[in-house]
Amino acid sequence: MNDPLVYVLTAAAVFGIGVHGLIAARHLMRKLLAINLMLSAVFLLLLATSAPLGQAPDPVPQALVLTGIVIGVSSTAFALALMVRLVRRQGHASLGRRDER
Amino acid sequence: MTEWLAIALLAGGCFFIFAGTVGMLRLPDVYCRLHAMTKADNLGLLLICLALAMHEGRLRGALLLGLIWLLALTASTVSSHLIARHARARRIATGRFGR
Amino acid sequence: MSAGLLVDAALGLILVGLALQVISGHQLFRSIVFYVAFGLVMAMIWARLGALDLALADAALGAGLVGALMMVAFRRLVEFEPVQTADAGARDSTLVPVVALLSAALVAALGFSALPVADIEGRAGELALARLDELGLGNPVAAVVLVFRGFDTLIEMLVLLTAYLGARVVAEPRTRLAEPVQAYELPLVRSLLAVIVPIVMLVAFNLLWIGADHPGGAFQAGSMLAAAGVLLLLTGRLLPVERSTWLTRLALMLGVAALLLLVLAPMLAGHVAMAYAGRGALLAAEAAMMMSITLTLTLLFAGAPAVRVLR
Repeated sequence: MNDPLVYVLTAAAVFGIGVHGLIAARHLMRKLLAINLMLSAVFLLLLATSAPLGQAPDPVPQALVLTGIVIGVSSTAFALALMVRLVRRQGHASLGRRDER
Repeated sequence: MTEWLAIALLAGGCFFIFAGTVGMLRLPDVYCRLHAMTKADNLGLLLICLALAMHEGRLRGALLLGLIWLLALTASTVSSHLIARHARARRIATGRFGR
Repeated sequence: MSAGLLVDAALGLILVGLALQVISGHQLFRSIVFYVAFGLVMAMIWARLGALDLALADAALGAGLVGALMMVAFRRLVEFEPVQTADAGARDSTLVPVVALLSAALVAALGFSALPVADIEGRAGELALARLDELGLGNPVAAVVLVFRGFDTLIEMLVLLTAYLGARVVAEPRTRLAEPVQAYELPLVRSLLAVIVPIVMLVAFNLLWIGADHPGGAFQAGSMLAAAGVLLLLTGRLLPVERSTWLTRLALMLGVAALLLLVLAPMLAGHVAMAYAGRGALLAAEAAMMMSITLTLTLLFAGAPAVRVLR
């Protein structure tokens, strides 16, 4: 078992947790947090599979993840703005009707 | 010799950070927790920075580590001050069942 | 079992534990705090993997800025509906864990199938590293971001701008950052700003300057400056205003414009698009990108079309 393998397993577990959170959470903000977990898991998988046995990691996935982090933050900010607007309009912070939340 | 001293300092730093964490988890109210965390953690961080500076053995690295410690100290001072002030303004009481 | 593997395993386990804490429990605020911790551990893992560029960016953005954005949104929601926001449990369904396990298995299978790829000759990264000397740059990540895949970066700057415009469109005209914390005139806060802000600016400009040869560059510098912007907004030194000026709009578009120029200008000179234009051009483009990234992220946090300095 070598180092990248540990992080592949970590990424898989975090992704699964993120999917669980995305589906199971009622509150939209927690769904957003779960999506961010999934995002981090994908980044980790990209880097872990490109950094074999302690060598310097591949610069191409590093560059992709670097820009991806900034994009992730900006889209999270957009989603939060959308969520605040939605909550103010429909009165509750979950998908679907109020009574079935 | 230097190496052993660095290891001893590192162990001491880990002990203080561990103590601070235990204090934050176990102490009854927000003021005690701040007390445990700021003091023990900053001392622990200082010891770890000293150990790393010894291990590094160059002036530049040591100065940078010192700067890191000072910045962490500044941030933790101000943030714990703000947390304590907020707690007092909200009249969060002391004691185990204070909340 | 080596010590390094032990550290990796511990970091991985901590990351998984923090992720579990983020999605469980009833208090939303607790989840946000755990997400910040998750981002910090993530930055440590990047450092362990040798990706210092990512560690820098993730410590400032993934942990800092996302956490701050979430807390501001949380505060707005609590003001609107305290009960539901404070208590946000999960729904029960037997199908959910199955789907989660299946997706985890999918990711693991993808990872395992991707691991042998590392041994293949002639990967994109090796090509980039091999041609690094031709460019005279020391940082392969900067070379990929600005030269080899400059077109990607152009589109990513466009995405950043689009996200900002989207947030502006859906924001209600009356919602703005709630009044800054009452404590901002405390002497301690004033001295914190006097210490932190110059240091952050120094570090950010240094990251920009050395970005061609060492870990650093526009994205990291921009995220650090945006963190300083958030600090200034929270302490009331920058105030959100409702009307933007042409200067703000220009600065927002500067990054896209600079990258367009970087991509297209070689064509005017008779080369192919994205031909390498030299260190000076790269530094200028990175400076423009840093300004745009800083301003976009700061304004996204402020939830306003512009900010002004407190006089």
